[in-house]
Amino acid sequence: MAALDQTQVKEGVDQETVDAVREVGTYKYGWETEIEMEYAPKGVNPDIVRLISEKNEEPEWMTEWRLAAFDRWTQMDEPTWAMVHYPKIDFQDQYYYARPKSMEEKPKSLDDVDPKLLATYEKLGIPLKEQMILAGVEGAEDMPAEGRKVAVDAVFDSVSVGTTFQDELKKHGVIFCSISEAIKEHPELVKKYLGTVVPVSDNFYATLNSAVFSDGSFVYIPPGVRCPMELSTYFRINAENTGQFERTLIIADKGSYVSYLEGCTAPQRDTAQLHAAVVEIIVEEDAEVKYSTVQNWFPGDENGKGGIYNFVTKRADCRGDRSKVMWTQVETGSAVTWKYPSCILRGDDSQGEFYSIAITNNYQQADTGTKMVHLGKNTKSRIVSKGISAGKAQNTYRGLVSMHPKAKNSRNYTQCDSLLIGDKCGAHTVPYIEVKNNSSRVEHEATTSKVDDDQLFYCRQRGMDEEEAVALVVNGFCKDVLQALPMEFAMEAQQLVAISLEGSVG
Amino acid sequence: MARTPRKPIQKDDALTWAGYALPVLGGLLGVAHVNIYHMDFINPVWAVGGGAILGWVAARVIRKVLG
Repeated sequence: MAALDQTQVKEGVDQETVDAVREVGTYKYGWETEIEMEYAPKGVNPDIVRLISEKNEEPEWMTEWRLAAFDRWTQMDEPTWAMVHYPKIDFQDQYYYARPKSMEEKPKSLDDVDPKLLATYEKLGIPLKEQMILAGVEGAEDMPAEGRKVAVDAVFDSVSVGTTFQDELKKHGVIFCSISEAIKEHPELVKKYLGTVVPVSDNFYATLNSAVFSDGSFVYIPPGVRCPMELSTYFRINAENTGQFERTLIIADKGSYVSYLEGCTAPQRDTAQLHAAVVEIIVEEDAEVKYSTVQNWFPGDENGKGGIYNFVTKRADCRGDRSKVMWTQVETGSAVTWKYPSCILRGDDSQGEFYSIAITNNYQQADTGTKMVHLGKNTKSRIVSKGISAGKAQNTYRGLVSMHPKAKNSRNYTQCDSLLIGDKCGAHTVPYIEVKNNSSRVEHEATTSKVDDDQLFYCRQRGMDEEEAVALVVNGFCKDVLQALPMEFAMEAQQLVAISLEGSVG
Repeated sequence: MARTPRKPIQKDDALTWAGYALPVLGGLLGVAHVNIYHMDFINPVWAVGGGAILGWVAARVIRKVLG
């Protein structure tokens, strides 16, 4: 990149071409929005917890809940069992709350919205109409929507900027809003379900999140309703030295269905930033939830400088009989990933599926996998994990399949494949299998391979360069998981796979 | 050269074809089932074989009834 900056551009070459060339091989979303921000003082203590609760105008019971979590967190130690290494995080040297000053009051018209905020959405590729709704413009929902509808909740640093298609969803009884709004508008639902899947003291990062979460998404699908559109949340970290702690709560009542998408990006910086999220999903009888993630946080530069430390706790509780949950994730970003989306298969005949692609390049480290806890009879789970390591990256699959004594006739199938590109990277597989009854069956398949030279040779014979050939081979390797993604995400993920591996060969 | 008029498909022809086509169709349905309902954890070999046998049985029944 530096070489290009120093190169003199020939006469006749337009700026667009220069910019396009400059963008190749760089993190596409690494730019920063220069916007006036409002911060809470640095560090975390009971006063900061109270301040966050106050900023969100929360009731007393929520503040107490947060303070109890904070009290618990102070007694906990940071986990060290994961195969990731990073400098010790100074939890008192970062901001726990940051919001654009213009978001102090919800804008009533487009003229009131900070133009820089609008430009951010435009640059992130969110359509103009959604852009208006995202910025919280009243009445924008009545405008005709183009193509397939996807309701979006946009979280910018510590606040939810806006949620689209709320009125249309309301007609079907679906509640889709920010968690801060849900705490105020639907306290009975939040009180009933919050912390029931991921308890306050579940783990170090989940406890920290419980104390300081600032915003996130809330979804409630009433009994028998098939959500008329896909729901999604877009997380953007913009402020420097600020952690993002969002909380997502999804409740699928009896016989309902919802597909939920999640995307995230952050600016390119030399210093690492923390992201600790919690996602809780409750799936009642005969309900189905599909949760897809394309994680594209800044992964750090080619020397391992900067990037996001991504510590996430995601768990789905299949409480009802015949309930289903499906996790699909494409992990291409963040310097350190620590993430194990899990399924608790409590109801009889409930099903859990987990499809994952984790791509690590340069100095990235990923310790990711899943937990399938079979508690009910005839429960089934399927795990397909694809790990790709390039450069000097380390990729670990860590999975638990647990068949409890009452989980008679349960089944699990696990497929765990690792692909190595280059000779300095690593792939590790750590499966834990516990079977406590005689009628259940667990199957585990694992492979580790290098990119096949014959395949590369075949592709190169047909005029592809080496990077294109590797991208094609890797996309083929990930095919099973990419097929499980919704169409829009699958296309994006396919391109992301190629971009993430740029510079990994030669 | 005069063209011989095309003979309409006779019942016997259809029944003969059913004997070949239905097992193949059954096998294909088995493959489709494995791919669509992957959480049923059915062995593809059994699905294809079972589908083909069911198709063959169906063809036999049809021939018995109509033949």
